Amino acid sequence: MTSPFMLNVGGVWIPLTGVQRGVTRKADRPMSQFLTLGGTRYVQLGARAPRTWSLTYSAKDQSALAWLAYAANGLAGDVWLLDRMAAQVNMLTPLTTYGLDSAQPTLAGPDGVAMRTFAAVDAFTRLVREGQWYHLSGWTTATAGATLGVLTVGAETPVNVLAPAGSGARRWSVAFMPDADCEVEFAVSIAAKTTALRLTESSVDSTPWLDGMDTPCKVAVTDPDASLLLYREGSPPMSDYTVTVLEVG
Amino acid sequence: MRTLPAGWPDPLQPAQTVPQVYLHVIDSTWPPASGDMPAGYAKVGQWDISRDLVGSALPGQIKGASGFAVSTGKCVIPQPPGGMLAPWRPSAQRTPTSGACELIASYDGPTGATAFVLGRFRLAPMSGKASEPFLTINLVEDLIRLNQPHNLDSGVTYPLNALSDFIEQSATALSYSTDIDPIAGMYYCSYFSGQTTVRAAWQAIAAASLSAIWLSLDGTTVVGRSAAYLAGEGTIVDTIDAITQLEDVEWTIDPTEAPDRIELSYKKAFRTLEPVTIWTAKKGAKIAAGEKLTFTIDPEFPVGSYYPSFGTYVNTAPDGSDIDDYLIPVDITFISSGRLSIEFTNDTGLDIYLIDSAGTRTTIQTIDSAPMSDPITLTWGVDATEATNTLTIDLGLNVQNDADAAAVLDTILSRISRPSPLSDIKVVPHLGREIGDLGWLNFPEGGLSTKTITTSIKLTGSPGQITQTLSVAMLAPTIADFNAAWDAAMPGATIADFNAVWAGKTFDDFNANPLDT
Repeated sequence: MTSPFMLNVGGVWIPLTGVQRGVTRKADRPMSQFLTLGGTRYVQLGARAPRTWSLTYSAKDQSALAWLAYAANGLAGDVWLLDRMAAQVNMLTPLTTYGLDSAQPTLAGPDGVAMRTFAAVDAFTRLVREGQWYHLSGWTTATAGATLGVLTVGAETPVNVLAPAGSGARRWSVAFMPDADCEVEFAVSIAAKTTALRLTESSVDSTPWLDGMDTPCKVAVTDPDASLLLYREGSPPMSDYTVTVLEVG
Repeated sequence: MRTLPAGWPDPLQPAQTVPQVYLHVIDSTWPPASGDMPAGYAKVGQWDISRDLVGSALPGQIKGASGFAVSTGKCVIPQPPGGMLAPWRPSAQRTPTSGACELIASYDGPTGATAFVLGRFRLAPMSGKASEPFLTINLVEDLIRLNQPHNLDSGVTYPLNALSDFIEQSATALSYSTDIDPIAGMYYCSYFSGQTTVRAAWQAIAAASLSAIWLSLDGTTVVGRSAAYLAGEGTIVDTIDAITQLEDVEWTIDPTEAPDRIELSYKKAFRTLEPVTIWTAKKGAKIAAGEKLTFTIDPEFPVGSYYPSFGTYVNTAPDGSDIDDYLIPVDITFISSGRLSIEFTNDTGLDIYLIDSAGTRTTIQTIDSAPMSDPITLTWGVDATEATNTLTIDLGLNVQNDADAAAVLDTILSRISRPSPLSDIKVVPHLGREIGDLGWLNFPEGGLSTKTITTSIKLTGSPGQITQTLSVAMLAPTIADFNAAWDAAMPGATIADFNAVWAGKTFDDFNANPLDT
């Protein structure tokens, strides 16, 4: 069953079915302004924008919220939320889609915008699910056939990612499907040649690159608020529910 | 002014991401490792640091007590549920070992290439509650070594070249590096009472020459800046354009501030080789066989060498009536100009008394010392009976000749006629700014264009925001600035050129803008 959100509780992925449309995902990037004597405005921004999801359920019984309520009680350890709409954009964090080491050069990536390349480091790790196809793409200037990175999906044998045919800055992509719920890790092999990474649950071919949306991410769940609707003798009651999920960590 | 590491945005960039600030407790397993933070590190939520420069040569401070620049700070850190600090926890979560800590600002983690130390401190006593996951930590400057009784030499037997050498020697003995401008002046001995702290002694020497002294931000170096530097003779490291960088320019004028009478007192010392007794054993002072006896003396004036230096005669009878004298070793240690430690060791095998067969009790005498005169006072201004606002300054033994004292008085006079400082001006932050930085403040719309020295920096941080507030003292142009302005505008200019430019102008015009060429 497809559902737009999945919750990882105790290592198990549980689809959140029945979430009503109209869920808001709000990002709170800390920001401050400073206005000088002459009216020059300076803006300071926080490095990250933690997000808040407001999930609503309409006329559902308690079973729709079983695991959200469990997580809200604090019994669940680490809880992860997979926002599948964000997973179709780019699952990586905004700061792991391109290199951060200022010693590395930039290369002209999507739309010609220069993006910083990776050094020979581990570029990212992400939680992935069994049986789901994932697509990883990026831009590279490595020579055709060179191993530009190593993709390790859980306990499976690491796979070399080869640069495609052609020369200059060009796009490459690979697809994989994990055999089990695990972590995928991508290590860049050649420094200064690769950037603009994009990992999605859907095909990457229609758009060259989109900014990272950081999913799945660790979350804290607030206790569900209920609006009681229908009391049924012998059956669980039906209510409207609202749950707020906050990105943490 | 410190340089920011590579990878930091230009401070004047209008939209920029602020760095994350971390607390690093040095040599400690607390805070416990959590998430991506190794042990000893924690991410900081809100924080603040403030640092003040206190020096008598600075405008607006001439009447204030001389002080030692001290920094304080505060930060709030989250605690992971499994690693909350409490007195009843196992030791790794109870007490950080050294208490030394740093606040670090960085874009790539506390140990990354962009890490920049904001300040080094000591942890002040912490308190918290079981219900609160956040811990507020107060930070104070590490002054433990400076709050001990002082270790300054007297300079009598081994004269030093400059006033600043007393501070240099003392700082090096306490394992600090030094960056002290030489303080000249005819000065050859020093005395501070035994219990005076190192900090008070250094500050007294600095204040007497109208210089300022403080510890560097990382707590390793003693920085001293001369009166000339505090007057503006140095390199300008920071230019602030008021319209584009300041939130506002705030000022205060206090009509009662300017003194109308100044009394400056100082003492002189004269060197003598005549023995002066500084200690006498009490009647009946006895040392049992095999025992040692130690006394600590404060000589009350600068002393050089002393007698006896290795042994003294003692007697077995309390009144010295025994015919034979024994010689016991005496060990005198010169700890500082205010503390001498005398240790008598009785190695005779008999009980002895500190008195010799002639009936003379054991004494310690100096044979090279510099007794001090009574205070001499210089005055300026109206008579004592008419003065409404008298400024009294006591330089003690830290100025020892008339010429230097008169020079100090002249400098003070030029200070009290300066405009008062600008306090708490909020500025576009540059985390490399330091107290004592010479800068230039431009505010042409307000008619202000002045050299400044930074006397106070306050930094406050919260998520997504860093605020910096400065206090600066306005410094008048010096002769060096005047010469530099003319050399730049008209090399080889003569008095005739000056007269041509200033023809028809008044002294008020000149005072308004002395550097106009």
